[in-house]
Amino acid sequence: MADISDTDRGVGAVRFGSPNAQEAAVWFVENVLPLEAALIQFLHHNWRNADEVPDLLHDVYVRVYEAAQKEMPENAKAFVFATARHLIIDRVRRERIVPIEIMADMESLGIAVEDPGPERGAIARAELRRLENALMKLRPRLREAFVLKQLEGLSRREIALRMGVGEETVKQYLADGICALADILYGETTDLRRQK
Amino acid sequence: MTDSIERAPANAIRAKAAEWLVERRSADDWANEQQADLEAWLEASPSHLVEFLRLEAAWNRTDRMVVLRQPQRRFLTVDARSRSVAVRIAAGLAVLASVGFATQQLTPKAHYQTYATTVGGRETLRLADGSTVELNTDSVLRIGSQDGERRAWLDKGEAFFQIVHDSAHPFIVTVGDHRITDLGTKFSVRKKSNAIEVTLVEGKAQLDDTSSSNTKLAVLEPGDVAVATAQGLKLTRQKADFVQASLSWRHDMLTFHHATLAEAAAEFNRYNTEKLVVGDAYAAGQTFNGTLPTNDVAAFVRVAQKTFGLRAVKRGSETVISR
Repeated sequence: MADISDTDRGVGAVRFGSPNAQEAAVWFVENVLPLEAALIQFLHHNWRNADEVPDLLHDVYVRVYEAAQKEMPENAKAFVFATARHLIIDRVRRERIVPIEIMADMESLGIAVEDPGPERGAIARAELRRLENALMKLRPRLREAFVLKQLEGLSRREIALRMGVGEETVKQYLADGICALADILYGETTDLRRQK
Repeated sequence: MTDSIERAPANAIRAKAAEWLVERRSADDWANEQQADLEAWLEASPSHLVEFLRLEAAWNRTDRMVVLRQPQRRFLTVDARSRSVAVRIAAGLAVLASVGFATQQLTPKAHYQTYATTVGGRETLRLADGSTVELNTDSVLRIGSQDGERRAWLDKGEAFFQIVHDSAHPFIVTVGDHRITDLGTKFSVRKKSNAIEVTLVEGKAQLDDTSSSNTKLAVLEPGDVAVATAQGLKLTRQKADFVQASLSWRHDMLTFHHATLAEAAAEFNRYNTEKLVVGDAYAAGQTFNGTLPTNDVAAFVRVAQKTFGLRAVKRGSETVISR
């Protein structure tokens, strides 16, 4: 008999209390995070205070994740944008601000969500290019710490010695580095889309 | 709670999530208590969890950089580390990998780089000596040198080797307790949970058991399939088309010949996070021939439904196939 086993699915750090939570987390990473750039554009279009967009984004994520834990949505894209729309409507009601017309969906904004094409080699090359470009956008000290850790496999102590700083500073560099990288990788629209 | 008024601002939560992630990924030792603290923090609010998941996903993507990068120029030497980090990124030179757990098992003299593929992944490594290695789904391979010999360690999964022969510098692949020495060859090696399978396509290779003293098991010739288990060695000679079929993963295809559904499902599960479960013995025993794309789970389900009249029920990330 063949051995059918459940392999590890890449959400590594956490043991989840329930299979639903685990499944929701995998779904969130694979299907929701790639929508971030489009979602940020959507929020900016529909919320006049740009400073509040990061908090709105966070709230959309929390709502989407909580819903997915109860029942997995069929279509991630439709669900995420419907959630964003509801959230904005709730806010508008609560804060009694003059309602603005909420765009129906991101298609009406002309935002394309990246759809992974069929050719694997090209995807791998594009991903490498994207990651390298993202690293190049980091502040030099953050980039250096991140590269020493992730590409050279140095320990925190070795990085500290190499960079001539304390270990606490290295931790801060890595923390700031991963926050900036996540913003670039998920939040920024790609050059491809900008050209359109 | 989802209400932003009742919680800390998103950037404060994100900063805390980043602190946890960095600690988790860079601490020299990570104690159970720390893990418990992290889990408690994550469970305290989905606000915490979503920020952590987002940063962790970005971090995991950078893990793959080492894999995506080809080991172009520096095959047998450890990078001199004299050039600036920025120049090195731009030049795309191979650097020492941080992927994985293999680091501890090393003998001090060995230099190596680690390459890993995710489920569904496939990478071709072009080595400086002209040899190539194709790494199949969900696999971990270390490549380097030891005592002047070219060395590779297959720690997990499957790889296809096309080795440029050099009798002064033999190419040796180590898999668990077994060692394959190239005598001018193309061959594939797969590490299963309880067996090692070597298929020889061209040329010759020697298979040794290294568990106690070195025991020469066989010299493999084209068409030979060697399956080594703790109980011993099983050697069969196969026709060329069978050998090619077993390597169709190199073109992202799976070829089945008199395969049972259970065997085929297990093969598909190697390549996909969406898992197939064969629910009963009747379904498991059906056999078929065919070629399907490695990532096309839906096609497999259609075969089960249309050809065998079986039922398929999707349950989360699993599809259960049964009568």
